[in-house]
Amino acid sequence: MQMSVQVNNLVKRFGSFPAVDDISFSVAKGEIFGFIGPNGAGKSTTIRMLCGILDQTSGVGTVEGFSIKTEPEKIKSVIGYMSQKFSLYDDLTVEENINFYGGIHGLSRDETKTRRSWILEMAGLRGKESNMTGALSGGWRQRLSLGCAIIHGPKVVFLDEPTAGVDPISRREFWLLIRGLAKAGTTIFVTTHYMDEVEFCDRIAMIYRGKIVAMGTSAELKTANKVDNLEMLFVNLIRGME
Amino acid sequence: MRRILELVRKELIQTFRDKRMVGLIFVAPVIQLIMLGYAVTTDVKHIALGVWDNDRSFESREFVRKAVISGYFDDAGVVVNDAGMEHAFKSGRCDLVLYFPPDYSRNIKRGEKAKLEIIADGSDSNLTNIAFSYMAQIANIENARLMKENVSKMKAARGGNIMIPQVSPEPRVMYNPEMKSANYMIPGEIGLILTLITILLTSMSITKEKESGTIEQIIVSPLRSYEVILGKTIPFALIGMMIVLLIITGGLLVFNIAIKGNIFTLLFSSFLFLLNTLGVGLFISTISKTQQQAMLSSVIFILPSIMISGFAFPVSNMPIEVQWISYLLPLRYFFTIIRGIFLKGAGFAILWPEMLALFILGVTVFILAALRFRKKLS
Ligand SMILES: Nc1ncnc2c1ncn2[C@@H]1O[C@H](COP(=O)(O)OP(=O)(O)O)[C@@H](O)[C@H]1O
Ligand SMILES: [Mg+2]
Repeated sequence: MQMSVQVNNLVKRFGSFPAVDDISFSVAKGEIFGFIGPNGAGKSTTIRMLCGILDQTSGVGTVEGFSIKTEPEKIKSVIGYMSQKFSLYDDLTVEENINFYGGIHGLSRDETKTRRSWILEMAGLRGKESNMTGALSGGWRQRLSLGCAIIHGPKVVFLDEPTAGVDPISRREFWLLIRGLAKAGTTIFVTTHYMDEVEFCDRIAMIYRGKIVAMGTSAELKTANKVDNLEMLFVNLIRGME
Repeated sequence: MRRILELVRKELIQTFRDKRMVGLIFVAPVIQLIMLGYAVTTDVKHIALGVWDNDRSFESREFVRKAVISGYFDDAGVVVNDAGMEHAFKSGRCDLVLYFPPDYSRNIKRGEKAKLEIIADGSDSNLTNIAFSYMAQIANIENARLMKENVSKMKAARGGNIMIPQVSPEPRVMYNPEMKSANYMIPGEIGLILTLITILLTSMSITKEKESGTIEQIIVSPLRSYEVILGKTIPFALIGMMIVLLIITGGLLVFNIAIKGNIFTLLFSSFLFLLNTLGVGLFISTISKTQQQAMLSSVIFILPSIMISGFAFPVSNMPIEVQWISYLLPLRYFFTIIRGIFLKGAGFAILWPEMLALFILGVTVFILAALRFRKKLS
């Protein structure tokens, strides 16, 4: 199987504090890989290193074959990244945000136009092109943010808690969008702290205090640990670490 | 290119959509323009005094010596002709020139009225007035000496026909003959406002993106570092140029001050100056995490640099250590340049050393900032 993301013994320390503590995993092309853990577990730190925007302390990682250490700029041309806070410009309109992201990813005016109508359609924002982004509700912001992150059609998409603070219906719709992307061949690396979202992922890693405490498909984890509830499994694993 | 344009466009939209920013950019200069137009300073010392001595006598040297030991004047070297004097004024080397005509000492010896000229730069009307009154006092002291000397001669001659000579200074103003203080303050305001607004806008626009997290999207895009830097500075350079034009127009309409020199030289110098302020703004954004920190750092940099660059108080009035520091401040050179162009019609030929200094400082600070500005999170 072809690997899209590969990580070996990745470590990130802030001062002496290990935010990411020696993790290894890989993600296959077209797979939805869920990174699950509570706040402060090290999810965002991992994602930022993979996107080439944060230097790692040690370890190796590749994204689409490019080294996160030596080729971060090459990585940037093949990935899309949706950061934790739905990074959109609140003081720009929906359309201005889309144009901006198209522009900085080097899309031509025509390409941006085509993608813009696709994003508006996907996010259900048709007719709201000139609304101020800051005034949009959570679900719309989330989908617009996703649209902007994948405007250039990346091979790998990193989504950092894309469903946090969004109503359940929007969350469901969002996951359907993600599944659609993966079907079309895009690799998805997604973090969440909602256990119930495990069901939408092909495979998951549970992360706690910078360490991966369990990894596999939902079914694998359940049979291996003889539980039928992954939340219980996680709680038990964490207890074991205390 | 298109990517940079996209950054610039976005930045301009955001700036002009923000009512507070629009206020800062357009209202602040107008208010300052009016306030500063009427402001004056007092207590002037260390006025740079040039000497144009066509007499070269004991008497002329004595007058200069008295001026210098008074503490109000510093010897700023000699001037030998009209062109030399003009150059000394335009380059800012002299504030005042004392001209002794060839018959100065002969008139004194004959007991007649000995004229000398005090020629002032005049751009700073306040400094000029004060300098004239100091000179009048020094002439009084010199006259007292001559009186004493001649009275003793008179006694020796037993009341013979000895006449008492008198030195008589004649003030003349070179530029700004109406002696309006606005003429001095308004060009200075260009430097002031440009510093304030461009440093604040640049540093805050970047830290704002740090706060909102959008900086991560920019870092993760294929934009090159230099593209981000240009995209974050070009918009504020454009706004800076608009401000320059706004103040020039305002000065003309409100205070009737027209530029004596070439407006393109002025705009070019403004551009050189903007290299410095944008570089500083960029640098501040690399050391600040929040807009508040950026604002604070900006003010910490801006306030002292305004105080010791000669905006309100002449640099020559300051302690020598402070004067050394002021050599590192772009604003100091920019003040000389804009006042020179505005009031005295100076151009490249005279102001090139200041322009060169601005260029070197600007490129240095810009490169330092650009090196610190990495496309990474810290
Ligand atoms: N820039 C930083 N400096 C210092 N500590 C940090 C920094 N970023 C994150 N951390 C710490 O690293 C740990 C992991 O953070 P993060 O990766 O954001 O967790 P998560 O995304 O899983 O909530 C947290 O304890 C956080 O406080
Ligand atoms: Mg996080």
